Amino acid sequence: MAGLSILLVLLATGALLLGKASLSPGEVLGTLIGQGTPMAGFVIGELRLPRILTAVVVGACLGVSGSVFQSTLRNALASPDIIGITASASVVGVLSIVTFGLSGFTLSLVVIGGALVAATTMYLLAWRNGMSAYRLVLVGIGVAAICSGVVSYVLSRSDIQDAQAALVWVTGSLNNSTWKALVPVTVCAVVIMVLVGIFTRPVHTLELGDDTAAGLGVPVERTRLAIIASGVALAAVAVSIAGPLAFVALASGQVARRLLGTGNAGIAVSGFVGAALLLASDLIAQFALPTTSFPTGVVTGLVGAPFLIWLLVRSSRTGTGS
Amino acid sequence: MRQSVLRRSVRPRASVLVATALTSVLLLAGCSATTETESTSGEASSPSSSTAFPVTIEGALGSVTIEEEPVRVATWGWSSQDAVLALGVVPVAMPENVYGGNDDGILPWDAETIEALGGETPQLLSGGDTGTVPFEEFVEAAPDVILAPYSGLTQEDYDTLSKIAPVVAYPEEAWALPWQDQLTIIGQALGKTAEAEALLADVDTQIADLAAANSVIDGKTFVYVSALEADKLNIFRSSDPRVDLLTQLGMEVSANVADLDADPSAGSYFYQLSYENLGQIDADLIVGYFDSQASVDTFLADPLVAAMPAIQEGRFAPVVGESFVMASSAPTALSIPWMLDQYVPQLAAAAEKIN
Amino acid sequence: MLAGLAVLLLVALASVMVGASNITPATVLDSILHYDSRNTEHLVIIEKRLPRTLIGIVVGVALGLAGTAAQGLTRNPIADPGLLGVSFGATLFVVLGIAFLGATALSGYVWFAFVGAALASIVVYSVASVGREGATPMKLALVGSAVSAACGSLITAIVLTDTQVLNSVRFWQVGAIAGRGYDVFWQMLPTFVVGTLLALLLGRQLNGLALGDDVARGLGQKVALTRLLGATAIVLLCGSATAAAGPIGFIGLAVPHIVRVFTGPDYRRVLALSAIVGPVMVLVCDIIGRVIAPPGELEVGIVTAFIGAPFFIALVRRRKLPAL
Repeated sequence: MAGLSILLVLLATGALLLGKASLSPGEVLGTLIGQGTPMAGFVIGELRLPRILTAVVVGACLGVSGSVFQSTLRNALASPDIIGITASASVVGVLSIVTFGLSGFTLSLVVIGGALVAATTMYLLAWRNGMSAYRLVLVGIGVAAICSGVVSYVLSRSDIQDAQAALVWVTGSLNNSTWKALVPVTVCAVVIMVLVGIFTRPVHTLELGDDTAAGLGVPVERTRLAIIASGVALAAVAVSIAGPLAFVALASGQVARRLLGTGNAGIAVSGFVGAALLLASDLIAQFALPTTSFPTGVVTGLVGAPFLIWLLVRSSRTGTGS
Repeated sequence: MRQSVLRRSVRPRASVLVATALTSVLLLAGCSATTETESTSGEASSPSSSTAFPVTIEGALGSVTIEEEPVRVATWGWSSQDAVLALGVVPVAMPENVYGGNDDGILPWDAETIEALGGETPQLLSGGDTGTVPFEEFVEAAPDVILAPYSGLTQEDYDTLSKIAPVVAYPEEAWALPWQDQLTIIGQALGKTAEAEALLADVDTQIADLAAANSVIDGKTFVYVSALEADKLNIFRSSDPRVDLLTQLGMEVSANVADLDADPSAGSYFYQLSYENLGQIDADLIVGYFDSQASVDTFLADPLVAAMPAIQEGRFAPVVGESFVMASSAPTALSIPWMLDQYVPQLAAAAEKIN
Repeated sequence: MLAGLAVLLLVALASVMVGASNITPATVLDSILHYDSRNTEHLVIIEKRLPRTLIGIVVGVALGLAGTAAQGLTRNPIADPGLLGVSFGATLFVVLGIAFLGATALSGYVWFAFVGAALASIVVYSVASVGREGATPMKLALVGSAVSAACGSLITAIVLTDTQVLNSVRFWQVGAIAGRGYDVFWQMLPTFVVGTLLALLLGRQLNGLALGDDVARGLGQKVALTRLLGATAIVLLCGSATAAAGPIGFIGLAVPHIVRVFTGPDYRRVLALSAIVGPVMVLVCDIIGRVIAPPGELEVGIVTAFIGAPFFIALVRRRKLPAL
């Protein structure tokens, strides 16, 4: 965890210093202590700083959400990006952009609402004389398939400008990071994470199996419901501000698990991993190629995937893999 | 390649044409009349640029006041750089145009004009394709004004950009401004209203001259298509700017186009027709845009397309090549002459084959 | 089983009869018996609907079998043949082909798609096989989704910087069996046949694997070999299907679950019925797509998502699902 924190600070510093508007380290420092030129102040205060903080918050939300889902549903693939949470959020987002032309804070609110509605629907659909995680996952995949169908349809029927803008949103981008959107989102995120902290104390017990957990006195269904609801809310919050950034949720949980050794869910660590992953991806997305910058979502897969593979290979070789 | 460029009707309103023609006449006669433009409200501007400032321009995202004549001009969105260049100003920053642009990412007619004006190559802004505003690049460019009347700026983008320089955005709706109105607004922002009007009249004259020189196309019916998906044909409705340009040349949209339209009240500029129904198309000429000759060949290789009488008789006039597609999809005062010089003779040649 | 075949035949017939333009059954018969290439209706039947039906059947069989094999191999109910990186690998190489090598026609895409599918799967399988235990389901699933994510990112990166590629790919990516001629059909046939045979023969091995690796070994099965052959079958099948029709989602995932409701867990029967239910599903969705939005059409990839998914959800709700 300490290592990750240092990594985060390093990445954040890098992000403050890099950018197309050339500012010397002296100017950056000067602005931070309140002594810079107005334009430097604008660049740091309005452009770079909100972006860094958004990356950290969104990354943490996605990381925690992914880890929560994976432990509760006991399936490595059961992360919000696979079982339709982020997909339904992205459908709501794409439709809002292309059909209604929404943006910014309004868009975020609509997306959160949409994701929560979708999650509730999925839960209700999966509920039949009790909840089965298996059924929930399958329903989620069905929903994700419908959502990706809708997105494909919209992309293939819209004007090219709408298609490009929609594609950026569907991929996930940090370009619209503003203070106005960030503050309420951070507040929500913190509140939900505290809730998660409270609920997840029984999570380790849940991993032993429903019957064992019930025998140990854990109210299985209710705990699971509460945890999943929090996970959904976190994912929705993240998606509402930055779009459905692929792979962060899935990867953070797995990376955290492997960094800590098997058996330990490491929900908090997943948050840190998610934040670091997103910040690193954002830096690469903006500065890797001198002439073009990509939306961040493009890079999360490119950064997370090799790292996860490397970890898998390493743990396989040393025999500590699953 | 842009399927549809504008979301509202772009037929140049007859009143605008009459107004500009009248005004040009008055100007030529030496009077300094006050001019009125359709899409901008605000203070009346006079033809002489020295008294044009400060000017206030209203827009959907906010109203902006330009204090004095801008020197460093940046543009965003489509076509604005064409208007700025046509008025004799070289922008310091404009979006990179990879599609249809030359190796440097500049559209050919822009590159020619920049060279003719003897200006420096502008800083090329990235992200134009996806609508991702590169704020820090704008800071680097240090413009006096940012012109984006034909773009998709969101309110947040507008507010952030406004902290760098005054921003002129779209008057009513994103991506919905006829090129003539664009030219007028930009003329106002640069204090060159008179030049803008003269330019408008000039382009209309050029189109009329070309139509007269190739009178064989006069009155011929056409269908404007594009073929991007397998087995499906996109047919453009009368409201599309591409179609509009051809009608201005004297051709007519085939009545067939409206007949085959299943949902005429839909907002988009085109509708789709399955290849199975190609036999129902009836027009003198088939016109369409294609990225490259290879796309044309693929299109013609399809057995159902090849069986169409119009294709068999050679009554087919494709617009081929990225730059030409861009010129016809986003027509401006610069791109229209650039494209029509080459295309109209091609149309005439196809029209000759009508018996 | 026989009922299934009858349904398939009916659906195939419907596929030839139904379309955006109304052609009488008499004309359909006429076009087969007395083909006249100057008659546009005959052209529509022979050059458009017939190859479309054939490709639909082949793609359906391929995806159905590949899905069953993938779920059996990974013992994961939400495993989709795309998990091995096949559909993303195929799309990536098609995008590369369009962007850098100027591929334009659909038949040109086929080779790129197949090479991409094969390469991605090889990478996934090799990485997952590192270590003493070889390619366990967990590792396959994780590496597969990692590689898919990486490919997906690369695809988006290329597509966002080049509008022309976006315009070509966004239609192919939806998944459709329209507009493919006989050349595409013949191109995919060899790999399809090999893949199908391989998959059908693996039924018994998959039954053993379902009991767990150790039990399977105890029963005398060569687990690693089974996995390798299974993965090869999946690559061949899924690769051909994606090469021909673009990535059509969901069929590979849903078909095994639907079939298991009727056959129970025996993989030999599941595989056989998947080879019938798969094409039925593809053709039905395609037919619906043809008539639901006149005078245009909806691609089969979109319809499978809209129809297949709710049907799948209803199924998941209604029955007590037998374990894998």
